[in-house]
Amino acid sequence: MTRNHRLTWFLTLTTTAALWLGCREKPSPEDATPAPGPSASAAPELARAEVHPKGDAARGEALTQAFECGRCHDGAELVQSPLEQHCGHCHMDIMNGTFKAPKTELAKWQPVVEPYRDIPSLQSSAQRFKASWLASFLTAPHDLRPHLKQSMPRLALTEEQATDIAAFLTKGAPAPAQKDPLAGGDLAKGRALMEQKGCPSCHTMTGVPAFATQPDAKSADERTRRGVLLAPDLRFARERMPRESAIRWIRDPSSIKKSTLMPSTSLSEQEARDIAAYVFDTPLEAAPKRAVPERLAVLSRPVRYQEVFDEVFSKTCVHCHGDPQVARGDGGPGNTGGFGFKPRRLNLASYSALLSGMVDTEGERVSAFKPTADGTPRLVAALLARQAEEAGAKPGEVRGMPLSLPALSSEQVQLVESWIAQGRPR
Amino acid sequence: MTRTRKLLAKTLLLTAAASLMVGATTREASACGGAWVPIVEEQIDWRVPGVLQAERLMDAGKSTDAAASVVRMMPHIKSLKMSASKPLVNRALRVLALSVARTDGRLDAARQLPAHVQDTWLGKSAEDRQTNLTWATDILRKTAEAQENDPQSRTELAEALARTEGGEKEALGILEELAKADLVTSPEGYAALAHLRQKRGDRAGTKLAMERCEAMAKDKSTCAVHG
Repeated sequence: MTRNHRLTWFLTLTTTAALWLGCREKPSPEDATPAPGPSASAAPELARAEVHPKGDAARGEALTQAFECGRCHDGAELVQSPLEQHCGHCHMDIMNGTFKAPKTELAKWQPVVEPYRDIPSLQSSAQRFKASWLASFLTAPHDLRPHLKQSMPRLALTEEQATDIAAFLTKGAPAPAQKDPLAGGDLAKGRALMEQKGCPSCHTMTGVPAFATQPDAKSADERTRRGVLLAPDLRFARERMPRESAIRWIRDPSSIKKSTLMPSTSLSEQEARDIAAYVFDTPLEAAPKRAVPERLAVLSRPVRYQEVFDEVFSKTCVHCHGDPQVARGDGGPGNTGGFGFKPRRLNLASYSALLSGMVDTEGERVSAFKPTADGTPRLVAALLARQAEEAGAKPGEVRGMPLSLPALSSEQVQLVESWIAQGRPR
Repeated sequence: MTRTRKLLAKTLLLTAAASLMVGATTREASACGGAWVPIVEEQIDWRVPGVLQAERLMDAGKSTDAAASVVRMMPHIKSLKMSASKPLVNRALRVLALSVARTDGRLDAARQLPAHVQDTWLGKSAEDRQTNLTWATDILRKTAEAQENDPQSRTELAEALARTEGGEKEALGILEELAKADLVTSPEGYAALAHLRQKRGDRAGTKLAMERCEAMAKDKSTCAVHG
C-alpha cells in the first residue's frame, strides 16, 4: 500500500464518526433496571451468584476472530488486526504523532480522532465480567459509558454465539465464593468513602442521589480525562462484575487489569467492602426513559446531495460505508464486510455509489431507498431504528445506524428524508 | 560558445545540487536502463488527490474539466491498461471514459490541453470521435466486468453504449433492468433511458425517465434527449 493510499484511508476514517464501535442503545427499563438491591443488612444470597452459562470457550475463541473483536479491543488473547484495520491502535498512533503521515495532516486528524481512541481492553475479563452478563450484553449492547461517544456495536450474533464468546472471555474465572464477600458492608459508609476517595470524579452512578463531585470529561489532566471516558456507569456494576472480584478491584485494580486507568486507593478491606456493598446493593431508581425523537416533516426547500453528504454521510456514514477504490479494497465493514457482517456493498462516499444500493440478505442488489413495510425508505428506516434503539426499543429487523454511535438528530434525519422525497437530486 | 558553456555549467551545477537534495531523502536506489535512479522516500503521489478531484468534477457535472485534468496528469493514459492492482489508474480511466462518452467523443478542451497531449480527445473528426467512443465503451465495459453486478458501472456502460451504433439494444436492456430496481445511478443514465425509450416509441416510459432525470439533475440540460 502506498503512503497515499493509507492517507486516504485514514482520512476517511477520521472525517467521519466510526460506525463500528458500539451501539448506544439505552436499555429498556426492564433490561436496565435490575430489581432494587437489598439493603446493607440483607446482602444477596449466594444462590443468586453468577452461574456460568454453558458455552464452548474454544468455539468462542474462534468467534472472536470471525467477529474481529481484536479490531477494537486488546487483551483476552484476542488476535489483533493489522494497524490499518485496528481502530484503537491507529487512532492512538495519530494522537501520539507516530502515525506515518505529514504533521500537518496529523494536526487536522487529531481533534477528530480523539474521542475514538479510547476503547476498553478485555484484559483479565475473566475476573471482571460475569459470563451471563457478557452473553446478554453482546446480543443486546447498551451504553455503559456515559462520556464515551462510541459503544459496543450490535453485531449479528446469535445467543449461542454470544454465550460461546462469553465462555471464552471468562475462561478460568474464579469459582463463586461460598460466602458472600460483600456481606457486612455498610452502604452509608461506602457512599461517604466514594465521595472521600474521589470515585465520582470519573464514575457516574445513575439511579442514586447525585454525588457532590461530578466527572469532568474536559479535565486538563489527560489521565483523568481518559479515565472519565472509560469509566462505566456504576449502576451496571452489579450486573457486570462478579461480587468475588469487587473488593480486590476497588483496592488494587491494576492487580487484576494491568492497563487500567483506575488508580489504586489506600483502602482497608472493610472500606472496600463498604464501597462495593453500596455499588452492588444500594437500591437503584429506574433508569430515565428516553423519548424517541420527533420525526420531522420533510423540508419544502430544495435539498441537494452535497448538503446531505456534508451534514450526514461524510460526518458519520462513510467510515464504514466507504469507497473500496481508495482504501486498498477495504470499503469498511458496511461495504466490503467485517465484524462478522457480510459485504453489503453499500457505499455512501459518492452520489452514484449511494444510488447503486446494497446487497440484501438474499444476495440481490436492492435500492437503499426501497420502501420498508410502512413505506419508509430503508436508509431512513435504519436511521430511525437507531433513535428507537436509544430510546430502549427492542432491536427490530432493520439494524439501527449509525451502528455503535449516537443516533442522528431529527434534523439530520429530516435532511436525508427530504432529499430522498425530492427525488434524490444530485 | 561561451554562453553555451556557461549554460552547460549551470545545468550541471543545478543537476548536481538537485541530486544532492534528492539523495538526502533517499533510502535506496535502483537501476533503470543502466542509469542510477534514486527512489525518493515518502514521495507524495499527487495523482491520488488529482484523480479524486477529477471524480468530484465529474460528479458535479463538469465532464470536460474532469477529463482534461486526467489527461494532463496522465498524458499517456490511452496506453494504460486496467488492472486490479492499479486502482488509481482504473479510476482515472473510468473518469476519462465517462467524460468522453458524455461528450459524444468530443472533449471541448482545446484550451485546457497542451497540443502535444490532445491526441484524438478533441474529436475533431468523425473518425476521432468514433475512436474515442469505442475506447470509452471498452474501458467502461471492462470496469463493469471488473465490478460484478455494480449498478454504477453498469449505468455508465449503458450511457456509453446508448451513444454508439449497435450498442443501443444492450444499453436499453441494462437500463430497463436497473430502472425496475430503482438502481439507475445518475440523471445521465435516466436521460439515456429516455432517449432509448423515445426511439422505441414508448412515450409513457420516456416521460417517466425524463421526470426521474429532471428530479436528479442539477441542470435540466443534462436531460436533453440526444441523438
